[in-house]
Amino acid sequence: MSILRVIDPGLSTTVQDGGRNGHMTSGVPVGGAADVLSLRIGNRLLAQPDECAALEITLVGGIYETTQPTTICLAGATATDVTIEGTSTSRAVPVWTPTPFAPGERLGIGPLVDGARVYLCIAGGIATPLVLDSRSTHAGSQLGVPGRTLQAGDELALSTPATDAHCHRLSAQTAAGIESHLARRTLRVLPLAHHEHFSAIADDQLFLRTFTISDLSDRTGTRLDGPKVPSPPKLEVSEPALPGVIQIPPAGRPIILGPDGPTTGGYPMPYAVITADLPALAQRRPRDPIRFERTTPERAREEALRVQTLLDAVASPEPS
Amino acid sequence: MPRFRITHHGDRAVRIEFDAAAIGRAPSLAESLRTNAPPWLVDAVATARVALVVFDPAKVSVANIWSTIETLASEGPRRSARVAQTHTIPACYHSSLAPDLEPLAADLGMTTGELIALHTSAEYTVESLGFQPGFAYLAGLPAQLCVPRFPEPRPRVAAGSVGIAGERTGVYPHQSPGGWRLIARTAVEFFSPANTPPALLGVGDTVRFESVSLHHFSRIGAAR
Repeated sequence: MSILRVIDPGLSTTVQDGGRNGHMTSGVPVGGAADVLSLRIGNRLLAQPDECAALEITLVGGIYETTQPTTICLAGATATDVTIEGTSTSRAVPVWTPTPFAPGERLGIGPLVDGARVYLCIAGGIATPLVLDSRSTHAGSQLGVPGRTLQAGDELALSTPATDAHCHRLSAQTAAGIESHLARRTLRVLPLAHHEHFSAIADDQLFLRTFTISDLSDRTGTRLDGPKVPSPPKLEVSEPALPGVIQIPPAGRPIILGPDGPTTGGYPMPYAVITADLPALAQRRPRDPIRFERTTPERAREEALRVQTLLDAVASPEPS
Repeated sequence: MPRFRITHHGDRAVRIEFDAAAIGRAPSLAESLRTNAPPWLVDAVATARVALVVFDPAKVSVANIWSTIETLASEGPRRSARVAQTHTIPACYHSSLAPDLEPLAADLGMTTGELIALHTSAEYTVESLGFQPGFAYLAGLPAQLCVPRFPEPRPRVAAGSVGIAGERTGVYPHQSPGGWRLIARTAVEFFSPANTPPALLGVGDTVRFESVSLHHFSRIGAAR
């Protein structure tokens, strides 16, 4: 069996796929790739199902080896100095580009520059065991294999790719469309039931001011620095919440629930970021500025369709 | 007919809030949806009064899902596939396993024995699951034990720790940071991916704690 070997895991690298649905009632978050659009594009370029497991690399790349000849594709943020080094040759690996990778070579990925996450997709996909229907790591409860951020020396099993898989190229126009979508710094939001408990001042703060991504952000939530948003008195009890929901704790610093966030929220939640804008949120780096803009369910639906069109412009989906 | 209110929860879920009289209706609605498993359903989950129905927008129109849920929510309570269970949790109330037991008893002006008697005397109800996989918020804490959580969470709480905060008690299934006051530890496994469902407790279940000796606790711990 083919193996991907971790020589240097970078800063915080985990195995992620499309996530695990249907277990919220046990308190299990959906998890999965924070920027699921990039994961899907990387897998489509390799002519394989959208939600094959890949490495989610955060802020700093790492060094990897393979035991069998394969093809990789980096999807998401651009890293500095991405090279495959052989015994005598060295070649650059551009993002969104299927690239052959052979035993004896080393894939080195430097710090990320224009975003926070890049996906290392591999032909066939990572084949660690399914836990609750997914290979995604939830580090908080050690779900998935190895159930934590990767360490030097970890070895990950790879699936054998389909022999008739023909990789795709990304047109410059499609690449530009995807990159501009992932570069968004204004996130569109929809009001939630708790919105009626918030004052007009809260809306003014949320929509007229600029926030910055806190260094304390991770897969459980994106914490925001900047203006304080006045929070209503604590509501009765906690209730279910999905990734993208904005919570306002008493201190007034918003937290946007992430893919590994708790399945219930105990703080008042005035808005949720639309699904189409979650990949852009996942790409914002600590200290990046972001703003919010109120939108409508109809507009959110149009944006979801626009993202689907972007994805379909990459290649047709492969059956899973 | 139960009174309820349906609202959007972002662009791929709807939230159904039942009024206080319709206790148990939210979990029962979520359960019946999961059992029927319509093709558009991604997940359905509930706390005591609020159900959240997550759908695939590519497979259903919002208008359609709205009317489906309105119909389901206005129907009488369904016989739930999962009957509420009663659990007795052996827990060791010993200061070597529970760092806040002695200081908390002193703060509350009681002996540790009195604190333990109060905590084990109550019957708790599972109000919701969240925070971590398998973590259940248990309502029914005796008023004398209601204390605020720590302003700053501890960086590391051991798996199996029994905590109290506000009007609730609960067990941390996994090692994690946590701000609840830790008064006991249990060897019972509250979450296991091998089980269906993976969480031991479900909304509406009843929980009691039973005080066991340090010797008994170590024996169960060793057997696991």
